Amino acid sequence: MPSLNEFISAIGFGIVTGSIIALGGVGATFQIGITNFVNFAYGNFMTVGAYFALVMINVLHLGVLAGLAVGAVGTGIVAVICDMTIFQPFLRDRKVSVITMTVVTVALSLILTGACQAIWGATSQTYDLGIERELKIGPFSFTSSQLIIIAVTAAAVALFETGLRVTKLGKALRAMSDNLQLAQASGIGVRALTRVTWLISGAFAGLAGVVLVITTRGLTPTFGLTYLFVIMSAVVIGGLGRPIGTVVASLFIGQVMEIGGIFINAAYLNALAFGALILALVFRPNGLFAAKAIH
Amino acid sequence: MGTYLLTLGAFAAIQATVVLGLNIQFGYAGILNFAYITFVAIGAYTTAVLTLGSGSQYFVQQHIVHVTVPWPLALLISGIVSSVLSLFLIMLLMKRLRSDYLAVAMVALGEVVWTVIGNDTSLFNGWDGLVGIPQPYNNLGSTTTAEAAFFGITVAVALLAYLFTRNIYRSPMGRLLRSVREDPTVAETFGRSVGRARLVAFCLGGFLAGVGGGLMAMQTGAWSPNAFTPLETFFIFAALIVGGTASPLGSVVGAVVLLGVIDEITRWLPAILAPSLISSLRFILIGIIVLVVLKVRSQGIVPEPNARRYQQFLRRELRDKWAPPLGRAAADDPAAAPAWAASRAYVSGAVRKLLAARSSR
Repeated sequence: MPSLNEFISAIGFGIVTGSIIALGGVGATFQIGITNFVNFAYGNFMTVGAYFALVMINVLHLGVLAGLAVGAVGTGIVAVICDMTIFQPFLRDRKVSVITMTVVTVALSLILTGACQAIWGATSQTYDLGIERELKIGPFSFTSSQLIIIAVTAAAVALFETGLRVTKLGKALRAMSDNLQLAQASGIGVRALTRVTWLISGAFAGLAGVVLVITTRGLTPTFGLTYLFVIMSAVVIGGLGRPIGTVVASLFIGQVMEIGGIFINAAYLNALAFGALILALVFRPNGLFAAKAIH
Repeated sequence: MGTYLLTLGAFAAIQATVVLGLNIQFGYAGILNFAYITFVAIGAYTTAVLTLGSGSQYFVQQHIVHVTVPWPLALLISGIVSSVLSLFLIMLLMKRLRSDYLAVAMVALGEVVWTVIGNDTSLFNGWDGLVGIPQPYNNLGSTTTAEAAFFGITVAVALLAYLFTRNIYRSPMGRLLRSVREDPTVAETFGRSVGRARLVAFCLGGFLAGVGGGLMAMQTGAWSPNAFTPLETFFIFAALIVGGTASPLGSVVGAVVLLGVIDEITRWLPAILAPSLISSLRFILIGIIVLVVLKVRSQGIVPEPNARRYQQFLRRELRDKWAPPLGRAAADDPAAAPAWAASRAYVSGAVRKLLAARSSR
């Protein structure tokens, strides 16, 4: 039987893992809510962001915060470029189906995987973060980079949610997610807002990629693809297109993975998240907090 | 060189079998099975443990069934095992999921199976995998003879798979599957069971995946989780889409063109390029080819038979019914000839648009 201390530290790690999943999940669920197709290249966006940060941290020695900023903005721009050059030409076809769009995102995923591998190589890399300090907060002890992860997640999600509720842009985005045709008829600039959506979604993916490498310490061209499905678990369990539901589901999955890690082989942790996904899909295919639009 | 071509030919024939199986699932029934390679792998492992032989020098390896059967039976059992596992899976998952969420669940499932097989050494020797899987007739004198024999086997299997897939396309079941693909609600309205149709497609495709996987294991002589990384599924999808979704001949063409030829070309790139660069170029190339085909010629190299028939019908209509009267009218009334020519151009433009239109999927 594991000791109480093990449990407490697992809960602490669970908060960190949950934060990473939440960062990735919010971007993914937001994009699905607006564009209504699943982006299989989302994991590759995470990888791209992580590599941008690698350049900032290891090559230019500008520190973690610069890495996070460049990872987020750079990936957002990459996502917008992908939307304009690859997704839009297909979406202009009225009859394009969900299946075709899924295959298109998979093809994009292959291209991005290949590009990352060609530029940065296939070997596993990590950031030079120097020596980490341990900080005690209540019963938990976190390293300084783990605190950065939690802070970044809290700030990004809070900013996003407030923006969605308070600003006019957020209102327009919510309207788009609710009913695209109606939004278009009311004079909302759907094209420009789709670009904003990809920018935000890409930025979240980039942030998630960077913080993921900060904790797992292993960056390869395919690492985002594996993690994509952990994130998709949170997205589906949280209800597609519902950022807050996704955050709750992410924190839950983070706890499941880390507490589960006490009992089972660490290699099976992702499998645990997928198990949760499959159970959720079978019993609550519309998510635990089911709803169609972003509310 | 001869031996090399035989090996390459056998490889292409195996890929064709595998792509044909996916064609039944994705091409006919429109199921996005992103865990397809997992069923290929299940077939490969089944063949491996059934043919390794407890008396062989490889007995040190994990050998969980302790039975050795002749290779045709092993292939058959591989197909059945894959098919039955497909059945379980589909009954669990396919109830009422939208196609792209099903795809997400399938990839997740593929990852779970991959992780479990890799980490659990008692099952199939973990990441190291199984080696020494015998290729049938590999003791027939020279290497060339042995390779020729195996080439014959793979081509025969691929041919059977092709005939099987083509006959399904023409059968009432094929029609039902295609109607489910185009619009499940309509199929259901006409009293068909959409769930059952998808189930049948899934099992038939799973069977071919299992047989193809068995042949793959025989050809390489080894099988480990590295042979079925989740990305491999996307290459099979790429072959199917480039060759022609739902077209049996297209699957064969796609497998040969994309998985046979392009793989070989990337292998012959100048040796100064690092191996990882060549593999990344392969990713980029296949991704771009898929995007271009989807955009420019979504029906693929060999279009689906019915789409082909529809195109021929439209061309005939244009030639026999529309063009002659318009031509006559232009000849009768020279003054209005430009107007008639314009209307003729309009009609052929409309037909061209119809020809280019993707199926309503």
